[in-house]
Amino acid sequence: MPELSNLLRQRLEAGESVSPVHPDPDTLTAYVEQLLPAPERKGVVSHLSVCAECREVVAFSLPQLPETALQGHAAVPASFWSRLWTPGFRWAGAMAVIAVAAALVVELPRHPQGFRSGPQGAQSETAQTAQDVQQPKTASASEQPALSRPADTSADKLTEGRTSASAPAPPPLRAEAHMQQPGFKDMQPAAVAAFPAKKEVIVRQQIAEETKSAGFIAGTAKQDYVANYLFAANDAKAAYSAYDNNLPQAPAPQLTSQPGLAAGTPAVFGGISGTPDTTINKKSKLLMPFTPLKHLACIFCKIADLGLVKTAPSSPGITSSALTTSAMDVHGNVGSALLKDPPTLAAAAKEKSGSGGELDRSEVFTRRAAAATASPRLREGASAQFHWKVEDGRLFKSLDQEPWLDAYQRADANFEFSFVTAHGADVWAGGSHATLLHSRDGGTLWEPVRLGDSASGKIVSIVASGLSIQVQTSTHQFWSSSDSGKTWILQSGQE
Amino acid sequence: MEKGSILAVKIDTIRTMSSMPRTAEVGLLAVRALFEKSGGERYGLTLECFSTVLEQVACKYIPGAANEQKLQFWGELKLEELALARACAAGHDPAWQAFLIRFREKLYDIARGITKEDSSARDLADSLYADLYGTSEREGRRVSRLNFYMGRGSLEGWLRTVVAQEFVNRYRKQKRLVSLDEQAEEGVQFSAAEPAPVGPADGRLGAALDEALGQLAGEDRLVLAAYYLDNRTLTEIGRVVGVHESTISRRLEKLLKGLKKQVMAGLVSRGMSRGQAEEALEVDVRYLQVDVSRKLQENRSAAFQQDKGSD
Repeated sequence: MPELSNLLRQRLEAGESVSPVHPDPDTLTAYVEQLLPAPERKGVVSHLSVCAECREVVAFSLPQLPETALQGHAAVPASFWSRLWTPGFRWAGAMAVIAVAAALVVELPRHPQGFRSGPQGAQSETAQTAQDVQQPKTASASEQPALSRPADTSADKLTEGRTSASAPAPPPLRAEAHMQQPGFKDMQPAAVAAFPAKKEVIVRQQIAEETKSAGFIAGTAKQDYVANYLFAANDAKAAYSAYDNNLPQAPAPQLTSQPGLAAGTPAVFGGISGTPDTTINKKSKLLMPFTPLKHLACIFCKIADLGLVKTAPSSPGITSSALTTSAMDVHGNVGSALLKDPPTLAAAAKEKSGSGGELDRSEVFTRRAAAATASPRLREGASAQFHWKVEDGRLFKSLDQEPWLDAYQRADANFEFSFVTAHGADVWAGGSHATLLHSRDGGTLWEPVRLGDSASGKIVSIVASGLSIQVQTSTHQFWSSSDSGKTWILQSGQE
Repeated sequence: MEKGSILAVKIDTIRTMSSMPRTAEVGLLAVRALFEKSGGERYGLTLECFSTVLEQVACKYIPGAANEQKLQFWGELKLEELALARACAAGHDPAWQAFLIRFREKLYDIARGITKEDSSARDLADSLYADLYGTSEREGRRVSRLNFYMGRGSLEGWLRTVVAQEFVNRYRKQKRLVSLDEQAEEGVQFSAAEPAPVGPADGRLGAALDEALGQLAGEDRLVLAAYYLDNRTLTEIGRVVGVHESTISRRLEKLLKGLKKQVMAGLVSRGMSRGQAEEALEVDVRYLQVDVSRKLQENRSAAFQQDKGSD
């Protein structure tokens, strides 16, 4: 209300023109020091309201405030911290805080298992611990290197266990159990020998391979395109669902021609036995997602890969299993760091195995634990060296093409393999009776994939690119899936 | 028991005895107790001189009061500083030594705090020292300004008020002396006086505002005047009034709302519609020629009707 303020100012100023009788300095002093009795104080106030001169005197006669008094004297030297708190320093501090916050926002969702908590998380950890102890015993008893799964682990049972609402969360993968397996011990020198001696070079090569390899694309497609961890954090069921490819609808990927895929992925068409049907490949267009640059600037991951970071495995909130295991986390940076201290983890697993007898007997958990043999990065790195072939209806894999190991040993297998394609650790294999198998861990654990009731013939071609899978059968059926094999659509062929 | 406590007990005893018929004796005992409390003896002050000073103070502030009222009033005075000031005014060296030790540097600090400039502060403080010492004479006697100190507030506060008064007087004197050459150098234009504003001022608006201002309490008017006329900050106003600045802020807002409401009601009661009243409030204040000083001074206390020249 400026109009009233101006009016007031004008009226009050007019009232100041009359010179009244002033109170003496003693009274004004007593007023300032609030020593006057109430009636006398009221009179002084009434006088001050119309006397500008006395208001000025009273204002000047007020005791100086401490700050004002200090300003009149020598300047007080600034303290060290106040000198340090310069605008430049403030800006630098703000930038550092922003950088740390950005790093946290980018990095924390990549380890969603680390935030799992509650009964299901504990149950999962217990089951995983039980299998950690059971797995070396099984592996040592087996004559064959543990590259294939025991025959009694039914895939249907596994599927039921995964889709059951009351099913526990999948057991996290543990690296130390895998390292104790003969197969791993056999593979390890070769894998290590394939890398340069310096770890820094290893990191650079891994990054280069990951960005170039289509296998890397297949293995990391979910992680980069569907941020399930944002929904599954602190939710064991959601994480479990993500583990089973129960993914939300993927965004529309980019269309890429087949030669582009073939050029970047020499191992896609299975090398030795599986020469792809070029007719189909020319006719069909593959859905190729954009290849993300993964962790090129992630200092934390590089430090973890170099072994400079060792996460304490005894932390109850973030366990090593939680860090190494994630349906989406094939990156497994922290998990690989945890591999630097396998004795500690093995000892912890032995301690926990005493209370996990019931879970030890669970087939589901046993199979999970058997699959949980390495960190995702290690599995990915190892499978990247694998060569796959189908020969005599059997599926083989090898590190350096010698020796060839049977990659799928099943007593109840009533089909013959006919085609295999691999994208790093993501392996698709097809066979007779429209049998389609999928492995996310380089052939350690196989999942049967059901194309459809009308599927027939043997698989003659599989083209996998990210979440998009296209399968052709010998009966000229062309099946496609855009959600990593969860649902299938018959594009053409016999119904 | 401390000396102060003993004196307090004595004064209480004397007050109790003051209701007895032997008034003169009781008064003498009371003054003696007050004299002991003031410590005037060490400044070379006598009991008779001190008694005269007390009577002078009582005559100024509570003329015609009874002995009991006087004793109560005297008991609330700053007796020690009153004795020091009057001893200085009387020219006793011990008093001046004590005064210079206690207040010389403080006086410079006070002047520096008011003038914000060192040389002016020195000039102001030195001139005040001359007045305090008494360079002028009246009827053959040296007149010291310390004779006007009555002990109602602290001597330091009184000195601060005196310095402030001197500074304001100097400023007003210098303000009247304007150098035309300097103003011409500064580019000040000397134009003819503006004619008296003649406009469509509505007398009803002035009357409504007079009525609203007349209903304000003295402290509210003081707050408004300090804020709108003196441009004081909320902190300064709060210190003058003795409340926190946030209280002043709230009070200002409340005052403006209340004033506008009252003015609007006054205008409506004088025959205006609400729209006309709002338009009247937006009238340029230069068109308003209403002298409200009379209204503002109507409620002044009669306590200051006495001539200031008595000090």
